[in-house]
Amino acid sequence: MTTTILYVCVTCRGNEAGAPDEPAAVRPGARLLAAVEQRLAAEGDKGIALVPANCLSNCPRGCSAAVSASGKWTYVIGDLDPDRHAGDVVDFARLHRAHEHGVPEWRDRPEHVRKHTIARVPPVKPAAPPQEQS
Amino acid sequence: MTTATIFVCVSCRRSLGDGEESFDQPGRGLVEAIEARLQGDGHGRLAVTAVDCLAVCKRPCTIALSGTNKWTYLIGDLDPDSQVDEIVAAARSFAASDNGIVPWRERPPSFRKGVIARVPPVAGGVSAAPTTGLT
Repeated sequence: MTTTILYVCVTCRGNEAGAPDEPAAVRPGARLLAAVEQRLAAEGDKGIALVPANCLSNCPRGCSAAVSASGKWTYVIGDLDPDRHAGDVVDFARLHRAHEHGVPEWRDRPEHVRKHTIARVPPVKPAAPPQEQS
Repeated sequence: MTTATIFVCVSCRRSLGDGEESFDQPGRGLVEAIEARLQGDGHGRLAVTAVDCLAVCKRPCTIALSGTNKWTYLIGDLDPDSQVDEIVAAARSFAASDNGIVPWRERPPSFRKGVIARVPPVAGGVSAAPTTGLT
């Protein structure tokens, strides 16, 4: 099975009023990455590659993450709180990995993901992407 | 050989102003307008594909620019009646770029203002940290 890639935007400032010269390491995005990394290490990360991203351009609705895999739809998720949503991000990545087209059943998705999906994009060379639910 | 795809959301609803029941779905027409603009250009490099929902919804019209080994860009707030040329220009610049990151000065205004998100390329050798280029 192709690797599922979980991007976490490490430059996101989220909703916190951080100082403009705040060190990169303490930015909310960096903290989200660390929280997701911990969660994957604790629960098992088989088949999921965690990749820090240098700006997903979802700045007004940070923190941000994206889940991709070759041949599958890509999902961008926003409004992530580093202290609360690492588990939701990892859970969604696993669901994405388990679904043939990367479109997990709506009812299985974490609530935050249902409400804060920023966008989704078909695979670059679409085979037969399901179109009945977004 | 297609080097970039313009995905156009055909589910986007554009409010016509009189409340929830009053909307149109201009995405389908936008697909056709873009196809017409690309006709006879000898441009095999760009493909246009209608998509049933890019899940943005609140920023009609929305498109995505994708290509192998390129960052994917989602762009919204596009006016299908006046910005087809800008969309095509943006897509051409995108197709011509190495990695999908188009220099700021080459981006039409609607591209500069309307970026919703971008995602690194999936292919092996993923580069999630570009050394140049704005977002």
